[in-house]
Amino acid sequence: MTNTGQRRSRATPKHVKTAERVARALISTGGIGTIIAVVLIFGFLVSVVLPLFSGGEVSEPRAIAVRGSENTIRMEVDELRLIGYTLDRDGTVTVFSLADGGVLERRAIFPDEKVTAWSFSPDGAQCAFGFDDGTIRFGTIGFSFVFLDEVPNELSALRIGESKSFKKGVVIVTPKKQHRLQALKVELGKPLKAANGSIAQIDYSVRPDDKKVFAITTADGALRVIYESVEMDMMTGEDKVVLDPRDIPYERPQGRNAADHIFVNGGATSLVLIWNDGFGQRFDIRDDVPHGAVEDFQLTDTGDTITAARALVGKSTIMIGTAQGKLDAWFAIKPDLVVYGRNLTPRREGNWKYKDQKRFRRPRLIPTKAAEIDFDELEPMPRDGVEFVCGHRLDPADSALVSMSPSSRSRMLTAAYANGSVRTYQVTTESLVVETEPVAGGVHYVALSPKEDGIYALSGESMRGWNFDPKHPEATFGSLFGRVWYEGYNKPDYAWQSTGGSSSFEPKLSLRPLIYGTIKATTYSILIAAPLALLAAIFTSQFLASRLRTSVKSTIEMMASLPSVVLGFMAAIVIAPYLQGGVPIMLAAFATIPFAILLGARLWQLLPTRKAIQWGGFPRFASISVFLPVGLLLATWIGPLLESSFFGGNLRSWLSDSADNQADGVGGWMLLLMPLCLLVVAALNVYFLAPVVRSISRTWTRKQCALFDVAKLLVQTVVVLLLAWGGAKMLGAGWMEWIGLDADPRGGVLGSYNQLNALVVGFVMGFAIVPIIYTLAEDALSSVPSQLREGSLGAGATPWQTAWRIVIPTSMSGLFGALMVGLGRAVGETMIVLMAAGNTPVMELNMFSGFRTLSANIATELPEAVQGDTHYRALFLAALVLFAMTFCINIFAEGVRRVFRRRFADL
Amino acid sequence: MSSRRRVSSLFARGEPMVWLTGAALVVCLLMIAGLLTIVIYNGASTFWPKPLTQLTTHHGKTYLGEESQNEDYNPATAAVADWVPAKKRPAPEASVRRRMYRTGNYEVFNTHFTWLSDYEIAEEFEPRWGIVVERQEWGRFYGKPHAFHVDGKPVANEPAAVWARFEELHESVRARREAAGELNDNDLNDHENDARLERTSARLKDGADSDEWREADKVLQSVRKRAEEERIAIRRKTQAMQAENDRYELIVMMADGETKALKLADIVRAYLPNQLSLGEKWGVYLSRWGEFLSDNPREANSEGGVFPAIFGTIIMTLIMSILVVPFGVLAALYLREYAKQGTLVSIVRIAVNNLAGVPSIVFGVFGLGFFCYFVGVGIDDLLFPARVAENTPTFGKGGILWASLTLALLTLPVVIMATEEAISAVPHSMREGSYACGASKWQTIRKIVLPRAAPGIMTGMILAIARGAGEVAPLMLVGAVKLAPDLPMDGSFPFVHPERSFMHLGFHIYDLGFQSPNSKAAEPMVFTTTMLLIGIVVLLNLVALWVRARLRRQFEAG
Repeated sequence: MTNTGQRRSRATPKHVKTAERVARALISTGGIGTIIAVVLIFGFLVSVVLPLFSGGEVSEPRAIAVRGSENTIRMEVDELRLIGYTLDRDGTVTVFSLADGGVLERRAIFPDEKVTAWSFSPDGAQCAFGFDDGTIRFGTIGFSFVFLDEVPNELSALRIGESKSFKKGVVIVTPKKQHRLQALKVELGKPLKAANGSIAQIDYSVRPDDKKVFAITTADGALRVIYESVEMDMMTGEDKVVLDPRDIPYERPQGRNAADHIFVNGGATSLVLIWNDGFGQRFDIRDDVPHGAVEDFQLTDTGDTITAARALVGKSTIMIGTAQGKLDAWFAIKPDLVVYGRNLTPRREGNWKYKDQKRFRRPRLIPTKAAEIDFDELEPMPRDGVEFVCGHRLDPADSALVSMSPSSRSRMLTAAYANGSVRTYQVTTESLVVETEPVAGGVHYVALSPKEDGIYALSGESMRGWNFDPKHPEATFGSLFGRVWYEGYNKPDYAWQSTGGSSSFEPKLSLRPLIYGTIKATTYSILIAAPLALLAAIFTSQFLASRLRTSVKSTIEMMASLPSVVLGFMAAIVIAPYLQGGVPIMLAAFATIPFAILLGARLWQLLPTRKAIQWGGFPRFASISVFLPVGLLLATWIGPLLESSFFGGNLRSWLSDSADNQADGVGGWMLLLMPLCLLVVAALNVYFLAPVVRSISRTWTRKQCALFDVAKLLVQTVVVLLLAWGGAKMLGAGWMEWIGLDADPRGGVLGSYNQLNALVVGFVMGFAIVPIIYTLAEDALSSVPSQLREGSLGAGATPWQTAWRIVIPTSMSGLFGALMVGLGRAVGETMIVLMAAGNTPVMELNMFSGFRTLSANIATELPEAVQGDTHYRALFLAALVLFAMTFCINIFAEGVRRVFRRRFADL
Repeated sequence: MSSRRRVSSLFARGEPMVWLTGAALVVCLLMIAGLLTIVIYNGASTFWPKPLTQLTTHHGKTYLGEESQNEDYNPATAAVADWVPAKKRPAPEASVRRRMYRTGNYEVFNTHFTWLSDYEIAEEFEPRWGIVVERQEWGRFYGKPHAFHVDGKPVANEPAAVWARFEELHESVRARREAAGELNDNDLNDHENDARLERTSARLKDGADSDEWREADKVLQSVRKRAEEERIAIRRKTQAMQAENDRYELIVMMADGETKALKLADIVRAYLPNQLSLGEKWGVYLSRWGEFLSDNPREANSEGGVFPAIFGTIIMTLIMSILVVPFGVLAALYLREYAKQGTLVSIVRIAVNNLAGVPSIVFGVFGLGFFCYFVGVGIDDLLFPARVAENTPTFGKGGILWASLTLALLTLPVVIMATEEAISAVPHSMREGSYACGASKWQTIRKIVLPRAAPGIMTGMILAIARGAGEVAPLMLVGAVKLAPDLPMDGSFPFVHPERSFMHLGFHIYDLGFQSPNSKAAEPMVFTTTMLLIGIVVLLNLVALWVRARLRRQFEAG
């Protein structure tokens, strides 16, 4: 019975129970599902990135009934892997079906001539031949296709994807149900007379102006470069090929026969001759006036001999395979640390370069006097300023290399060895992509299919074919995070350049410059934001009237949700152009504004005690606001003064080291030493001066103390300036050189000025993260128990002493957490760096240069990346790295917060 | 004795340090104020009609334009020597003021702007009859009304008469042009597309040359034929209207005396800036604002309005909040009320906290890879194989649905954290009271916990919306584009098009300021768009603050 007299029904109504069950099920599934969805993000990113690190795959071999011989000089397959051809030394072309090896066509392409030299371009089907009568022919041997308009009866049964031999080729049915006939196409130009004797070696390349340049050696030992041009015949209106041969004045090195290999590099700037014993010579053929050899080099180790040499796509890299199974990549570089010996004694005319280039951070200037040059450090520089070096050494095999086939689309290369093994390498990353089981009977010739999806090896008995999937050989752990020696780079380096203009572009996928950029942006912005936000939070929570506090705090809070695209726009359109005009003023402001504020405080102390207390609220705040512009004004006066006295009147031209600004490095060192000197003086003040002052000032009046304080500030300022100046003088006068470093302050934190630079990003991104740090820090400071504060004040401590000794230590965990959250925000910020950082992926400490961050890189490149390819996955890896960076920051912050919380747990 | 204590307290007060902290706060506030002032000043003044100035240089060249900015610079000596006469030359290396005039007439001058140094100018005045013509294409035109042609014959020659004629006829011509614009063939194109897709799916299903394919092909041909006929009819109608419009031309004389005929139909707006009264200036100002807020963009987005961007931003934010709030609340309810509080739940909570700090671009990458390329391509393969075959992905690319989902994921932690906080702020005593009365757990949550937590949840939601509305980086990857005239919601079936790309105010700012071919001319528009975006975000934040204040009051009262 109840008080109301009604009987209470014991059983809970059914609908309540049902609702309960439904709600529980719904909330649990919804809640768990949401949380799982969140975990999925990480899992999905990883699943996209993982294939990047999986090695290449190759299928079981398939035998194809095609025979090769030692006379095979060329074998190729088409991009659909339906047909292939072999070319023999006697000029016989054999076209065969890759399905069964059946011969489709066999003919002699040079019935009346004898081929003595040949060259096949790695980029496509183009080729050049030299003959024993001194003529050369240029042409293409490649594959072509036609769509059959009328389908013959014998092919009508074919379904999509099926293929069948037909006439001289193979027909395949495309997904759109068209019948595509794949066949060999041979087009050869007219024979052109290039020499009198038989031609021994030939190679060619195309200059940027589209003219072909041939290089030949003849049986009688001449070396000749032939510039081809096409002229229109006035009479017939037909194009006529005109050859302009130039003999290279060249004496064959003593005791040597004719060279065994000849290469003209892409763009036809230099020519390389190689002998099988490893000796090589390089010639400069940039201009039409031929020169002798500019450089000699040894390509092999002693005792080793070259068995094969081929150029990679783009013809910048020459691959050298040897009898000991070594495989090296050689290319030309441009050393940048060069002494231009114009005023030297005749014996030393010419350009010299430093043997040990790593010592110097930036190109050295031309020494003015020959006496200053230590020739033991130097070696002569080839006249074209280019040096041929071995950039990569691939995993050696234990038997002689027989044949090589470079890919026509990437820096991949398939090599066959005498013991029958076939290996495929990625040259840039020096990785071995796959290695097949050895082919019995050895391999004569090897071919990599145009789409890099098949490997074919021709042996004396039959041909082997493998299905091949290289996956992502351009991306290895080493190439994504380490140094890689790219073609044309001076040394192994970190570089990000994912796409290029030409098909022979070498993608550079090192994430290091991007991570560096991210860290640089974060560092500069936190350096600016942290002091501002933390100090502002301290003032708000400790010294600001509570009436003002709420409105000030909500104003700054609201700025936390200011779209960053707005800030980025302001940075690039308003702030960057403005700062460019006043770099010295800005640098000076870093010093003058705090100085003005400190001076203001000293002057405030001169007020009588009663006034100081009476005006302690808003008037004090207002006078702080007044001294800020005073500092700025001071900067506009000091900045140009500094510029004219230390930087030759123009800081920006000094920074970029331009020729008409000869100011020395003292000013730069001063800028760098200033913060250090400031710290030293401050430390001296706290640890030595302050106790002394405290003991002797006991008898002083307040006024005397205040006056002393003003004098102390001025003296300290002068001391800091003198210290910095003295230090800079000493460093500039040779101290740095004495310990083996560069005497010039440029090249480190200081360097040439770009409009969009780290300082601009620091300012604006600092502005973006100030609100978040401020809000969290202020929360932490105000949540310190009030009894602590009141106790301290009651014990006689001043508000500043309470803030410094009680409040700040107690809320340390919160302050630290606030900084970490700000740091996390800065790491991932995208729009500001995208718009204001210049987006060049360089690794420079220079605060006046731009950079590219992980996030900006993703934003610019991901929309254009092809889904699933290496670039796409590398960008996902960039996202994952970003994810990991913020995750680590958060975890670290959490850990530190726990430590602090435990320490202050009993408060 | 007493003096000593006072003295030591001067140093102990740490006045300089207090001043430093105060200065930091002042710097923060000044930066905020400065930013807002720059944006609001530039944004609000963009549409204000400026006076038109005519300038003559010492060389006798004349320019007519609106001043748009000025600066001091050090002219090259060679340039100075070029300015005549010699005695008026500035001292070498002296700083000289120069002004940038928007001189328009792009098809004649090939530039929108001209820099003129003060020393170059011989004469400068504001011509009474200077006219500013805003056109559909080629940007602004500056000159003087010279004549008014009807059918190629002048009907007015005096500026006043020309102007009167223009005002009389302009409105009707514009109305006719708009009417012609509405007679478009979009529907026809849609029909044709549908028929072609039918044929493609017949090919995929039954193969080319099958009976079904032939049937579909026949339908397509008939649709095409009909569409062609209708198109011709429409073209005839529009051509008639255009011919009527083409009769009217405004002849404007440029500063150098050359004349140029402008078709009345191409003129969006024209006014005589040097004759405007204050009220008329306001009229032009407000009409420009109206155009800005309600029209499509013109001229590579640098003129016209941003209506599609406003619409896109709002719709995307709306879909996002519809998605994020229920799931966020469910997750928070589960974590607080249903899950067993232990290590696992605290790990989950830390994970959610961490997720709030994950950069937004990472969510964009996830959205692109997962939603567009995985889910979207899956949907396409399942539902629209014909479109896949024609290589026009429907869901397998960036779209407003995927953008909203991505931002929903991004803001989920914010909502979860805010909701959790709100739920845990409900006193335990109230729950216990409810249980004591015999209420079930769900009844307690529904009747006691949720209503009391509602304002907190609302705050979280609005903060999430504010974050979502201002976020740009992930949108660049999952569907925001520079120009999308087809809105994600319109009158054509099925009215809502979640797969369409969309315009977004934030992306508009980025695109206009950095990708535009003529970013200098677009700059004022960027400021205005920025002001609009800041306005929206600040408004949402103010609402959040207001809700939070109300919530606190309610708790104090309760």
